[in-house]
Amino acid sequence: MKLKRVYPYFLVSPIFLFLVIFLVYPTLYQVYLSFYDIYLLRPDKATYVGLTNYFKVLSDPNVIHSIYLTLLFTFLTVILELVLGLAIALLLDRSWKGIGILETIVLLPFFAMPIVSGLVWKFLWDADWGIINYLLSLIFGIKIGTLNWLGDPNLAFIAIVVTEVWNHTPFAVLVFLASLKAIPIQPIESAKIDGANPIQIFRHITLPFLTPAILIVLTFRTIFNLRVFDVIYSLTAGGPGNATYLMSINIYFSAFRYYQAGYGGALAVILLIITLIFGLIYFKILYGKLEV
Amino acid sequence: MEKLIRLYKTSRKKKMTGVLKTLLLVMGLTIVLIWSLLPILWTLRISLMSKVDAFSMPPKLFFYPTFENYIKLFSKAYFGGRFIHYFINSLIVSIGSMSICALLGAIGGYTFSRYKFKGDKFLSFSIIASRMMPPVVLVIPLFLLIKNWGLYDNLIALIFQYTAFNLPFSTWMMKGFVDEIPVDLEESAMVDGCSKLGAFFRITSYLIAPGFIATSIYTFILSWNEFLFAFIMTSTKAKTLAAAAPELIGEVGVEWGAIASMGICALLPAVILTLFASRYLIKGMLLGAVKR
Repeated sequence: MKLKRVYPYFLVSPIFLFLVIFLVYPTLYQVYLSFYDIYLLRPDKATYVGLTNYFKVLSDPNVIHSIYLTLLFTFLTVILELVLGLAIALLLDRSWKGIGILETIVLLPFFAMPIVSGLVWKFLWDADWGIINYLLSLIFGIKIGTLNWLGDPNLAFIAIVVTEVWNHTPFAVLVFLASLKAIPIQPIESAKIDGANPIQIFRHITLPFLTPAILIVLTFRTIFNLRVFDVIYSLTAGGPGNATYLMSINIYFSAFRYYQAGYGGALAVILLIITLIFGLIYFKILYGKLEV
Repeated sequence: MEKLIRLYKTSRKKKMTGVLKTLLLVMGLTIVLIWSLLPILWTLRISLMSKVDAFSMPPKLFFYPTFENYIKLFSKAYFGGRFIHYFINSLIVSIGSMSICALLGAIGGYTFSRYKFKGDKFLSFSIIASRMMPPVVLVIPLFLLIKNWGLYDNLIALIFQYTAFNLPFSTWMMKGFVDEIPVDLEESAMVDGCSKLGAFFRITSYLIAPGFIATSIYTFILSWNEFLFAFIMTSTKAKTLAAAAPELIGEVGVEWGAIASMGICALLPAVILTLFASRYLIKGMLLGAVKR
């Protein structure tokens, strides 16, 4: 009897072993580090400085700029991925022959290595040799070389948003497609018989069914886009100037280029807090009342 | 007679809107297809081009394909001949972490779905919550810890780290799959003389197989594409393909042919897996993530 009660804990214990050693412990260690002045290459020579790192970080206009950029980037990419994902899923949700191949193709960008995607898009965005400017010149007659996508601060921000949206919209498509396929056919059929138009059907039947999927996409994309690193690192590396200097890039450069582990640590803790705030709000909505 | 004409007209009108609708749908799907595929096809194109052809404006529609870039990739010209070494490292890390995640995730998912025990809600929630931890937040403490543990530039470190990152996801998804399978099935098997374990292997395991495959593919691709940790925790011995990508941005300028051919090779495992199992991926999402 007693053995039976311990059994489930025994079964899930390896999972917690991994999580504690490689996620929880390092996180606590990170919080601890953020109270120290540490040079990354000489971690033995750390001095306790209290909240100094946080004061330094929060009084640095560059950091405030990073936080602002990160929030703006996350907001734009999540909205775009949600809307585009839903639109593409609605397009794909039919029983045509060969639609399966299309589904696979649409999912492909999701599987592309983000670090390589960034490098490849660097070539696509290129002012003189890129296909994007070429296509724009064909369609809108904009002269090649006028739009310096990766050289102009505002355009560079648009470039990282579009590249990230390309990379991860398939996730939203996948979730929406799966839940569209799960919608029962009867309510739609009877609404059609009662004379409802497609917009009414979408608004009153499809959309309510999609609410959980929308929440899942919002939750996951927000949490993941707050931390996006690879694509931006390889596409712009935070530049030009600090136009795309998101928090993740800032943390990386602080710690691994300037070796300010404590300073980067404080910044990392702030990113963690922002993520947790968003995450907890979403999870609260997702799970309704949480009985913990 | 008048009635007939009216009927004819409305049916014609319906046919017309039907044709128009199909036309719009096909147009929409074409745009989606171009959006998803163009960057990948462009990469493939550059990978098959000589340097001179790649930098031509307007882009050449026809060109003589050359395998020069792939030959250089496998010989010493790009990556100093270590491409295969990196590729194998990536495979080892991805398969290793995928296997641990599959095993522990399946056990954990089954436990959380089938057993009621004290604190089970809290534990399963804390697993999901740990997915919120941004890797970039952990990278500073883990860099110091991994060095302390003597696991720097070691494949084991990467395997364990990726396992910790992907376990919440695989446990969560597997729980969803097991939830979908009626408990009665197992119980009736047990009435017929099966043990609990026997019931699992004879019945449940077959039913959760699609979900198991989908989860495994995801964890494989997530590990395969991971950049930041591999980049920081390895130097040469355990370097993965993703971590090696920045090597191609040399001092002499970016080697586009190298990046393109490497990108295509990096996409191959994911493409093969997706072609092989795309229906499982969507079905998997349907069962695992959406229905709750």
